[in-house]
Amino acid sequence: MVITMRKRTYQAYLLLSPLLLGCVIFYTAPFVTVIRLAFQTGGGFGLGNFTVLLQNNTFTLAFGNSMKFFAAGLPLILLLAYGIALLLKTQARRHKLLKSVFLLPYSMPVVGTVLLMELFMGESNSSFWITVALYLWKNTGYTVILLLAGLVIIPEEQYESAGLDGATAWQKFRFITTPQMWMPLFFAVTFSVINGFKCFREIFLVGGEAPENDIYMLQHFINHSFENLNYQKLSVSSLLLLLVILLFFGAFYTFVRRKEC
Amino acid sequence: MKRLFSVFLALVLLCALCSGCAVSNPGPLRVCIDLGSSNDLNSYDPGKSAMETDVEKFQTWLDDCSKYIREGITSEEIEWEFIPSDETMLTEREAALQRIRTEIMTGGGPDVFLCTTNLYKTADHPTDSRLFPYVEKAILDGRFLPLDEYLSRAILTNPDDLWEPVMKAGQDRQGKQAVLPMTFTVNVLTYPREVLPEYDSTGKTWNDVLKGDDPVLSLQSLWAFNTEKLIPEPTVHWPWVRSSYFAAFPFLYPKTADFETGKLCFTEEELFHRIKENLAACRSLLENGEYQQQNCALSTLTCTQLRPFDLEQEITYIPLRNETGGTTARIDRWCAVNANTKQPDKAFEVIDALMSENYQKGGSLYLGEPNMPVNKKIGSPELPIHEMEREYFSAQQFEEYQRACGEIDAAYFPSLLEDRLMSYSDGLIYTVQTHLYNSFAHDESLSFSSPEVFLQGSIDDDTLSRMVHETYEAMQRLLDES
Repeated sequence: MVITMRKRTYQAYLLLSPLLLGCVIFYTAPFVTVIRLAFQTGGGFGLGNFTVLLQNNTFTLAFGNSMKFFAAGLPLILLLAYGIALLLKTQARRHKLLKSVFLLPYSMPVVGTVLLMELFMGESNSSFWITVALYLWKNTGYTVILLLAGLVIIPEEQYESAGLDGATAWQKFRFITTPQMWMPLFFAVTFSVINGFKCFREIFLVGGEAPENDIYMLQHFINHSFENLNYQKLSVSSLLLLLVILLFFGAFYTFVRRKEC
Repeated sequence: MKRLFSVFLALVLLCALCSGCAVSNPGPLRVCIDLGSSNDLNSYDPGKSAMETDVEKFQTWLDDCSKYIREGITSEEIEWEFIPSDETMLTEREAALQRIRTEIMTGGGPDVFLCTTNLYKTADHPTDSRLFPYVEKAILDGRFLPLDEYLSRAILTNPDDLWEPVMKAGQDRQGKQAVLPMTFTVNVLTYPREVLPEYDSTGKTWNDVLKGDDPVLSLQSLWAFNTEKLIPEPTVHWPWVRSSYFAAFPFLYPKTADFETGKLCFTEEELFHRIKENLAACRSLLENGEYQQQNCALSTLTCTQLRPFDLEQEITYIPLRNETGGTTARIDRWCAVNANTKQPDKAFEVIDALMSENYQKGGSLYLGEPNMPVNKKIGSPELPIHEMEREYFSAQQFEEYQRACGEIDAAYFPSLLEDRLMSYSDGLIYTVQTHLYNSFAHDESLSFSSPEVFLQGSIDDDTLSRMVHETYEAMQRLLDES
């Protein structure tokens, strides 16, 4: 029995090997190249590139703007989406079309979104908050759908049972809904971050290659580093961003797992 | 049976995946050309673009030279790669640049680069995306192969014949020649010799120009801005004269930025005061009207400038002064070998051919290039620049040209930084001049660069300060991104 299982495992890995090799070649190898470029200095390897980049005012502006964007946008989108999802929870099964309506901004062509942005930006000095508003408008519906999917699978009997025991709405939310929503929330956060990076498309189309200071994002800096053939800057920027994302998601995931336990 | 089949299938898939991974020989030598020339058809041979025709002529010349070249590279071993620069091919250009940049990043790329820096955003060139936006930075980053060892063994090129201060701009931190400038330009005041027999401006700085003590030198203050033809119709000796057709502001500095420290070579306050002083000097010159008495030309020294002058006409050149008492050259065309190349010897053969005296004086790839070749001997009657038309100096003119170029103490590769100072689309000089133009009531037919714009237009310190601040910030950001 054990030998048969081992043989089957061996066969499985053998059949997977072309795919795994492809992943190594097309993902891992470029990743290793980026790490090599990031640590490669004139005299060998070291943290020189990191030191130089952290003293670069434009990089700190771009990095700061990107973090500020997520710090403002993520909590707002989660609060908004969660609230809407809770309101929709009772109606979701009866009005299926409602879910599709929420996805309309997400599926809106970029041109339309850009025209909207330009309309508001022309009348206002606060490009940053308009960008955040655009992010919220475009992606809240998508996040609502993700959170709604988590809400509808919570058994109604739990709420009914709690109601019979005299639990208030807040207590039901706190002790029934929240513990079971951590994982859907984690996915909602993940996709919100991905969608946040996609907002660069509209920012680039409106602001151009040299936008105003408050919407100058890390992607602008990375793009220009590539155009200027400064691969070290590009690699270090990417690695620092990866580090922040890994730390954030690592901490959040650990928190979610503890809550689930 | 199933197990055998599954093992066989896995091996087949593995072989299919690895089939493209064979170790290959270097292949033909890749020469990448980005000279900004239009790819209009029928410019030379029917059915071919101008660049293709020029390259074919270079290939023929290279084949003729091959017997002199050690490695004996022939045109069959070269793969020519043109980066589109026509205004109708912008998407293709961006795609080509993206591809080459990715290749360089992964340790590959073309073996030889032949590029121009003359890609300002204008109606003819709606893109300013250069393959190497900051050539000086690329040199410091080690993108190019140092060629000193090869130059010492060069057969066709004599490095001693090349203008040293211009060549110095292409050297890396260790003083090794990484990039070879091919053509350059300087700005000069040109007088008929009978009007101004001699004038030695050696050691004079831009500050001396601004003082205005010297009526001859003060004419150079017109270069601060884009001024149209201010010199009245000349005597019979001068078929035409012209003032500066673009603002020569970057030429006033030996360098715009220090890429090693990542700082601009002047502060925002210095830039503000420099613009203000330049404007004041320009106005003072126009107000006193003395410029109208001068019978001279302000222009960029190019080989096309030579055509209107008779060989009998003796001239006096006064190069545009910079801040350090010399004159600054702008490098327009350059060539280099990729540091990633697997065929350095063959790559240098092409460079040797391009930089050779014979080719610099009239090669097809120099046709249409108006600026001066970096070989200091070329331009004399014995070594004319182009043999098509009379494009050479007389003995006296050549001596004066050599004296003017002898004052070059700095040279630079134009980049996006200089564009921010002087480009027609968003340069600081242009922005200031536009403000002057719009600041007073005038007839719509008034030329943008006529003297009235400077005499009647006005700009207050706050507005100028804001413009300078925006430009300075933009330049610092460009430098941070470089």
